[in-house]
Amino acid sequence: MATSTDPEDRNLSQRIDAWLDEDMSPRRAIGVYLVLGLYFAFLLLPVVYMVLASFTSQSFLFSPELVPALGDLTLANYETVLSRGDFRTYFYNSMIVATSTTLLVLTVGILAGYSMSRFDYPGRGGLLYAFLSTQMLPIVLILIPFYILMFSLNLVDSLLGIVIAHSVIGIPLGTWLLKGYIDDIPESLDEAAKMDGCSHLSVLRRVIVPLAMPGIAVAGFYTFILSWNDYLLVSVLSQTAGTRTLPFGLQLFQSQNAVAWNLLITAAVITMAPVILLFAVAQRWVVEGLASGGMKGN
Amino acid sequence: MGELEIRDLTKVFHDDGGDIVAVDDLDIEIEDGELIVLVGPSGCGKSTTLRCVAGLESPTDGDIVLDGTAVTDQKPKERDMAMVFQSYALYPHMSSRENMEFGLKMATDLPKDEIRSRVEETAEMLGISELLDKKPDELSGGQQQRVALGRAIVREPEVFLMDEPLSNLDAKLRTQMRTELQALQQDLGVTTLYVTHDQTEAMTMSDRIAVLNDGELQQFGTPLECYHEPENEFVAGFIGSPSMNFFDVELDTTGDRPALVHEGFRYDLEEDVYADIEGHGERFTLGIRPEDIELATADEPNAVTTTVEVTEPLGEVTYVYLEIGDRQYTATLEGDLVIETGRTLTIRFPQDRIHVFDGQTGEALRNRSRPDDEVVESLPGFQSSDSVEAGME
Repeated sequence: MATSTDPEDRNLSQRIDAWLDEDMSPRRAIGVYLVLGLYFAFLLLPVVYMVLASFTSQSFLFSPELVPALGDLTLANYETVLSRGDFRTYFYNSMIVATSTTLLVLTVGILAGYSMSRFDYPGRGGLLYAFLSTQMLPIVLILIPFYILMFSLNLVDSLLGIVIAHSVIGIPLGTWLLKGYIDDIPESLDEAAKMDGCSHLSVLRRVIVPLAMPGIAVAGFYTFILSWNDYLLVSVLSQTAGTRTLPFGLQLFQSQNAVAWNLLITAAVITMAPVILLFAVAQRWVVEGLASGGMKGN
Repeated sequence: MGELEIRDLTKVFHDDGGDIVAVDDLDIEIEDGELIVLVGPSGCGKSTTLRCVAGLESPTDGDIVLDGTAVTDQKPKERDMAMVFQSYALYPHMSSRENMEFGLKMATDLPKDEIRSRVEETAEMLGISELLDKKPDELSGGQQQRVALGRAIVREPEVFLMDEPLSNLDAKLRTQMRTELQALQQDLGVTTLYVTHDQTEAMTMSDRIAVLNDGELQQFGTPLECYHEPENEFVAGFIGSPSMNFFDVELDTTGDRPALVHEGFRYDLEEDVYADIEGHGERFTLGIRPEDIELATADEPNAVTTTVEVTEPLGEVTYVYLEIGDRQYTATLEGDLVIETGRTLTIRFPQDRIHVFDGQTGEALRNRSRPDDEVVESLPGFQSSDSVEAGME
């Protein structure tokens, strides 16, 4: 016989009761959700409008209507934007630069974070503060010496140069973040793995990395956005269209006298999409949190 | 074979505040299949010793020898030892099965089928077959404990190392697991080095106990040896609960008979006791276990008159806290005695039950006489091993 604890068998009000926290009255819940709803509407409405607008014509944008009719929707903007060879190049460049930067930052960050968390060596403390101090200066301040350095290394106007520049910003924070996550993984797990026959590297690969996934996801996501959105460093290091990235792509649709708003908005949506997709993928690990079920007494 | 030898083991930690000697010249020989408990208060070096044996710490000096071969410089995975951690240290991202398989996968070349069947056999032995597909966070503390044990057992190592494996369990489960663990160890016959701060675990589980304090070995012997014949005041005080009563006394040889004088009483010594302590100075510590204190009449020799401060009736026995010379001492008396707080009680310390320690070094000069095997065999209901065999024939 089914009991009332069976989720299928409960009526709606019981389910709502179970869903709501026991301490929360329905009135309070409605209040909280109303405020949250307003907050997110405020944040999301412009984004929703932008996405909608990318499917409409320039003339609709200047009409007094806010919501387009189904018949007004068109893919023409996407066709125009994506058919431009320079925009596509910028998109590929952005993908290459952001992905390479993320991989490089994560590789260095995981190794450095693990070493700083687990090993004691001279200068470790100083190194940590040196990493932190790099975050204290605005990038603009180091832009000129950095350019001269990259120039002397023959890395100006190359994607590799941009990847290195973005990594220089990404690695210190990535390392700090990952060190913090790895610090939270009990050392007895490393020791158990060593007793089970692992070397330092296989401890890292089989125990630390899987358990630090939430941290790795956050560090990776942060780095990707940092690289994807960067305008300043690319504007200095990139000299030709062949090495520009997407933030420059938005400039293609405005001239001195006119702005093609529908195309600009469409390019903005295309620029935004990979970041949102990436978050959708990484979110699982970010939210999952560090599982700590196997540890007692720590 | 699993003959383990700890030779002159010393471990010094270097700290900003100076060097800390965690283990000081420790020597222990463990026979194959023995269960040895390292016991001592927090910070006595027992866990450090275990970690040196495991290879998780490198000793400053000394050797770890397994079956005649020094393994001191070998990595943990090369030592053929398995460890159970206080925190269990189960990999949270793996199921119980994967946790148990992990060591076999990493350290051996066994084929997958073999690994699988070994894990399943071990799981069955431990009664955790139905937990194999669960992750550690879906298991209770006791179940995690069993999986952690399984992970060690499935490796079939020469030596088990256990670092306070029961300390995170509740009292009831701890008692149950203690018995199970002991039975399991006896069945498997694997040499086991077991660290605990709980002297009940040490007494009940071990073949021999190594009592450590401040990194130094205080005594290495069977549980009853450590209990009845402690080598020094530290062991006497550490083993046994409630712990032994100690009285600071001075030797007085001016009277008719030599006596130990405490501010609350005078204790005339018999000749054999005096012979044991003669020539060791004037200051001694007189020790007597709570259960060896007897009630007496005021006119008996060496009777001590005291005041009852607190009583703790446990049913079976009653702990009576007595004030002698401004300090509190414990006596364990029969449970059916009802003793009110504040009343005067006369007690005596039977001469064959006292311990006397050197007042300077703490070294035991005289221990109580051990319970006699003959006395035990003469008890009604006791059958010697011969008579059991005869009965079976």
